[in-house]
Amino acid sequence: MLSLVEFILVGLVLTNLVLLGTSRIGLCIRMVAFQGVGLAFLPLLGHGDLTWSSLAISAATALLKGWAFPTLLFRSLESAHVRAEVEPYVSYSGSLLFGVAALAVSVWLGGRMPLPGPGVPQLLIPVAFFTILVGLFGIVTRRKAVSQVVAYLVLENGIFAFGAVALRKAQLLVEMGILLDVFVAVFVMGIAIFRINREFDHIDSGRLASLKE
Amino acid sequence: MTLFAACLLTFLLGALASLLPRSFRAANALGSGFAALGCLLGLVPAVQALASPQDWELILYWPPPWGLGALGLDGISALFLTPALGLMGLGAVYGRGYLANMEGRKRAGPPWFFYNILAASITGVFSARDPLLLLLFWEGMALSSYFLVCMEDRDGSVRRAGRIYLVASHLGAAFLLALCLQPGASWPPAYGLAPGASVTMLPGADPAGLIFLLALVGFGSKAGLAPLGVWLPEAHPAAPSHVSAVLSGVMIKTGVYGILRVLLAYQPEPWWGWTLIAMGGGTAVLGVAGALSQAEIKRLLAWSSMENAGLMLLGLGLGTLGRAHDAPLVAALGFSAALIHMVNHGVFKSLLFFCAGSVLHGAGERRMDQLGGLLKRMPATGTAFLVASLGICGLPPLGGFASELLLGLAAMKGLLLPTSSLDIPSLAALAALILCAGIAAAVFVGAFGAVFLGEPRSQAAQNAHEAPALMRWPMIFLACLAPLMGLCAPLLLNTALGVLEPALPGAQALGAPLVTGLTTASLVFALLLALFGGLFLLRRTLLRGRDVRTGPTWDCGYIAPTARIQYTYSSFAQPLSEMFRSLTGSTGSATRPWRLFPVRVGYFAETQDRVLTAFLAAFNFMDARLEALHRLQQGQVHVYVLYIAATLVALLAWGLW
Repeated sequence: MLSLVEFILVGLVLTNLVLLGTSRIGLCIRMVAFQGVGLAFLPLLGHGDLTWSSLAISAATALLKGWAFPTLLFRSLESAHVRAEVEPYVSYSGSLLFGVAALAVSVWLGGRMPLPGPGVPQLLIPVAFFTILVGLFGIVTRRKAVSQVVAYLVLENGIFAFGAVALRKAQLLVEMGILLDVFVAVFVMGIAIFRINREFDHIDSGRLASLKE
Repeated sequence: MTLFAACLLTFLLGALASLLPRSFRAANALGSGFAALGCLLGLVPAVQALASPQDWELILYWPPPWGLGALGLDGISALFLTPALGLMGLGAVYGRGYLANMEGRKRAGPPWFFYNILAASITGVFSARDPLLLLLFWEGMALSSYFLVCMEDRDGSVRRAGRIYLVASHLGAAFLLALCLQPGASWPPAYGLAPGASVTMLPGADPAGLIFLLALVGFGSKAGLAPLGVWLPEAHPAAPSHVSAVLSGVMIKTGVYGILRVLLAYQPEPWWGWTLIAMGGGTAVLGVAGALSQAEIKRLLAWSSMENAGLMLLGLGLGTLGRAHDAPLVAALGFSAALIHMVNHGVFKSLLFFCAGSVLHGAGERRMDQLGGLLKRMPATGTAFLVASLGICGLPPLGGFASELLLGLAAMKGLLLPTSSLDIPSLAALAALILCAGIAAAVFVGAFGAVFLGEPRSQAAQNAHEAPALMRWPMIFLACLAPLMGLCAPLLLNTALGVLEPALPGAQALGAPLVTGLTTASLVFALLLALFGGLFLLRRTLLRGRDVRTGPTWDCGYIAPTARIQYTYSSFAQPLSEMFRSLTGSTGSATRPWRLFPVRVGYFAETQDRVLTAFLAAFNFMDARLEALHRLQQGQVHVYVLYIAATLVALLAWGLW
């Protein structure tokens, strides 16, 4: 069981690196979907025993992260008629270098943080933290609103990974809350992107700076 | 108390309900209805608490990071809350009529949303029993009143006033933040807390003194104290009139309330009293001098509010000195004078703002020198304004007389003390009080004369019409209440003394002779009123059935009088405002008559608020120094997220180091 969890965590790290290095938005969305499906298995594997609630969470996670969000994102990508490139402020190789540095920092931080309980894989905290950092990095450095939404999803995946394994009590509540939050956020962002595109003929959030006072 | 909770809930419901309907009228009716209902619900427990002082608390169970919050009503809260709720309720009724003519131009929902929030926040400020809760309500009050001030946001000057108000109120709130969030803070500060007992501050600092200064600056900025109250004459006139009435009649008092709470909690030092008297006297004189040189009626009223806030502070200062020097009679008189003046000023100033709004509504003109002769066209408004002016000048038999008399008495008792420690402040307070009372009389004679007497000076004044019933009735109600408050002055004094009893033991017994004295005075006033009423009725019965004709005023034989030969307000006030030129910064230039047949004669006066100008200059200076920080504001969402992320990661790393 533990090795399966670690397998998924390693997959998370690899997809994060792909996310940092690729230029195609489509690939980014697919990678996030892939992460989501992988994460959906975590609630099942974390406990050791199957319960209805963890099954329901897994199903909802897989459905939302693996199907609903990507569909929404692809649709907004189509309706906004944008070039399918992420257009970063930081070059791809620079992003990858950041990724390596962030991984190192995460491992260092994870080593200093106490584990939330027995039976939690050593890799969990560094990987969750790395995913969060990559998400933040994406929000900061990617120019298009769509790629920022993708980065936001990555950030959320990191939080989810941490929660799915570490939190035993009130798990259902916490996770349904997070899922609902994210769902609403993606929904709102989708609408916002559509609107911004219609008003300004672009979704370059950097150019929104002209709105500052 | 369920009714009190129901009152707060009604305000919140009203705030939401007024946003729902699409039609203007429905939103107008719902918003004002809920606000008025909430005030009525809240009045019941407030009056009960006033009648039989009993401490009760409403504990709010909040999630852990906030801790427990509690609301409570003791005597002082109730004394502040009762007039506040009454005036806000009347303001809601008046506002419904006032906003009705905005149909089609504005939406009614947002103003009523913020009005309800404002009412709830003010109620909360007066009843909060927890520093955090106080801050929360304080902020709600500042923000909702900001939005109300900015209602006419198309007007550039209104936006400017709003901005000044927002900045000033948050500067004040910063000091309150320091006051409320210091370790071991409690609100209201516990009675009889020994200085420094539960308060840990910088070593070597005088904790009680520091708290006093923080409260003075933080609360004083809301009360309109001289250098801090720069926003007041800007913001109050910019708001719609029913809101101006609430701001001037009620919100200023939240500042007085806060200062009073702090003063009563600690054993004061003499310098507290000196500071209060200096600031109060300065504010009062500056306010009344500023009122002299105004051209618009609502601005004049706002300056006069500043004057009255100064007078309340004088009372607080005398009371504090009395406590510090162990002169219980002076203390009781000073504090109760401030409390009674608070109640009276609330009634009169709200009434004056209602009248000003009615003039604005009926004539569409706010410059006094363009009005005139409105008493014939708007009899109810004119009479109400007359009553309120008499009251605010402190003339008997109205309420203002009792409070200013008490203030004067406090100063006199201070002078008569065997020790000479209170001589100078008492004399200063007395001088400021007398000066203010005199000039205030001149101001209101001028204002009433220019606006309501004589002949109309413009077409707008010529066509003025009386306000609709919804606006008229609150004014009539308050105008009838005003003489009643004068007659009930002994009752009010007794209540105020009773309210102060827990903090100043023996206050009620000390003040008993004064209550008897005031009762005699009230009897005389009642006789006087009865005499006037009798004469009026006699005149009516004598004139019944006879032919009564009204003709033009005798024109001294001059055959071509025009409205322009009347005294205007500026010309009436010119000699006095010339005297205070250095204070108010008003400049006048006259084109004098020249040659045998003078062609052009004129007088042009302009007033610049010196304090405000100095403040703005200070801000500009700071802005120039801090220009480098502008680079931080990029307007790029990415960069802002970067700030947040960097802070979070740095904090985490620091925590795990």
